[in-house]
Amino acid sequence: MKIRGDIIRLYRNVHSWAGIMAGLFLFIAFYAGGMTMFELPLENWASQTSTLPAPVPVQSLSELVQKARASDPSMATAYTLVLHPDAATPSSLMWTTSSEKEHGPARTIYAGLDPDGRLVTRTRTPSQAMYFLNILHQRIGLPLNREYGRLVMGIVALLYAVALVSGTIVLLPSLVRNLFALRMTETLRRVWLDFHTLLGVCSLPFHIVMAASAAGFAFQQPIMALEKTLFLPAAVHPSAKGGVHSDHGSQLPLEPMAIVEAFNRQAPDLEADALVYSSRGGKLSLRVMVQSKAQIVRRPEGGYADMNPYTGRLIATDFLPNHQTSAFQALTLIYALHFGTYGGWLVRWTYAVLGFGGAFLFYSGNQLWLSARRRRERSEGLTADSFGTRCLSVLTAGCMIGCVSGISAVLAAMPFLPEGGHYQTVEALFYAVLLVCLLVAMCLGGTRSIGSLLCLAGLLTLLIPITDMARSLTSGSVLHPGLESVTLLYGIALMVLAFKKRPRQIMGAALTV
Amino acid sequence: MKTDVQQKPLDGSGWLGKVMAGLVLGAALACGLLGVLGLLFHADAQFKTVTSQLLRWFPGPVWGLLVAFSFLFRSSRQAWLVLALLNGSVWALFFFLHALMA
Repeated sequence: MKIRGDIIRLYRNVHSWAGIMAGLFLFIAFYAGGMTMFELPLENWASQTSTLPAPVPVQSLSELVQKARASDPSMATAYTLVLHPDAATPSSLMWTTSSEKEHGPARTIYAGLDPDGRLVTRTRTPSQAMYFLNILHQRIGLPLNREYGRLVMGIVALLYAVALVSGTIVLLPSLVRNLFALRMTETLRRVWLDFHTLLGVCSLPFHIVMAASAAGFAFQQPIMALEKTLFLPAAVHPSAKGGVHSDHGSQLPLEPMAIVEAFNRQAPDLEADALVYSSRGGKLSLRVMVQSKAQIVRRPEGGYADMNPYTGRLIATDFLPNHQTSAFQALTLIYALHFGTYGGWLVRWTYAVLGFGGAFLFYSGNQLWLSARRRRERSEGLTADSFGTRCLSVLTAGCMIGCVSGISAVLAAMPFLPEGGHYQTVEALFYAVLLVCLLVAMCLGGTRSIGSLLCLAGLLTLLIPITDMARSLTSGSVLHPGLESVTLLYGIALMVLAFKKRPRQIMGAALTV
Repeated sequence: MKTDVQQKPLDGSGWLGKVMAGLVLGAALACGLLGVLGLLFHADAQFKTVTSQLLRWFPGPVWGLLVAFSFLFRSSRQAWLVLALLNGSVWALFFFLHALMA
């Protein structure tokens, strides 16, 4: 591949500037985004100690719904029947007391039956900690509301696209020559550059997918408004609208057992996981959720189908795996490629690793930029860093290692916070840790603070297996060896980087000339 | 973009103008292309139909690419001129199709 030298030089500049402007935000987005790959298991982990009503057998589901409706008529407007209860949703019936979803899962009433057949309920807000991490990833680390968050996310998505395109252009001509040339013997700067290149090239497809889908997500709202003006209004099909439901009249909805049977008849390859009822104007509608581990699904929670709750007929299978048109399959694939919801756990782990690797790519990019700047400043005769270099050095160490520390702190605190952590509590904790790290970086200077910040991040990460063990000792909950070993290894790795001289230099503390 | 060896090498001069052209006219061009594709594939203004949902993912990446490649223009003036011409033709096509199909 031949590209003119002046174009490569131009795009090398573009790459450093776009990268430096977006790097800090993208680090947080990728690190927190990588964590959301484990959103459901970590939510389950956080909700271990709660004592919620036990699930009831499938035959008693309709009895449970009747009794719940008698005690609280408002539940009939929206409720969920869980067919396969797990740690996060252990009860068979639940409904929310408010429709406010700004801070994640709303306050929920869980209902069950005691041995005498009496209704027992318990109210609890599900853990909002993982939702916070997801929002942190969407708002690229800034505590913004939805509107401004989308705007800033859009700007960063554009910068990300520019950095990606320019990086690829710079690399293309020397790709084969430089790709696997990890020159460990050369200067540290050379090693970092080779590493940055190798990481970037190996995860290029992942980054292209993420950049394209992030740009799609960021501009979704304005584009929807635009489509309304640009496209022709829909042709009206009187038979398709309304005709389906109009015949229910005074008819009663089918029993949950009958619904499950009807679903199994129409989609024998899938298993219904939950029945989500909602009603508008007295008319009940039903969404059947399915979990399919290895198939392409739209959300981590799985696919879904809309069903007529009165007749048991499937109305819409647009997002039901194996029952979609190819166009909807393509649409689902766009979501699945961003959320890693295809191919089961292997892909989710791969996505997490690629996400953390992406974060490290931005860290190394920033360190390389700093090193190049310092080198230039030294050759110009400056003995100390200029103001700009100092600022970026503080921000890189403070924000990036601060984000790692903050997320570890949130995970370590989750099991001990009331109700698995409310959004505001978790948010306050994260930003407090981030701020402390920034202050440390400011006081010590960016380069000198790397060691102490890594030490803090390591300590906070090591707290995660310790909380799990402490909780298991105090409340007798089950140990999680997988989570413990991964966080233990990660924490130790961070400590090694913090204390050994050579690794600390590798993390950029001595990445000067 | 033209690759004329005779011309002076590309550099960062006028980058702000080029990027602004990419940002402003690139956005307009991506919207125009969205409109044309929507009409060609008979996407209707209903959010639930698959064509309009699929097309929703199209303008963002296209905009990003246009901004990224706007550095390749010789000058800021050329960037505005070329992108304005492209916009003109795409939007003309859109209004032509719109009138034809409405």
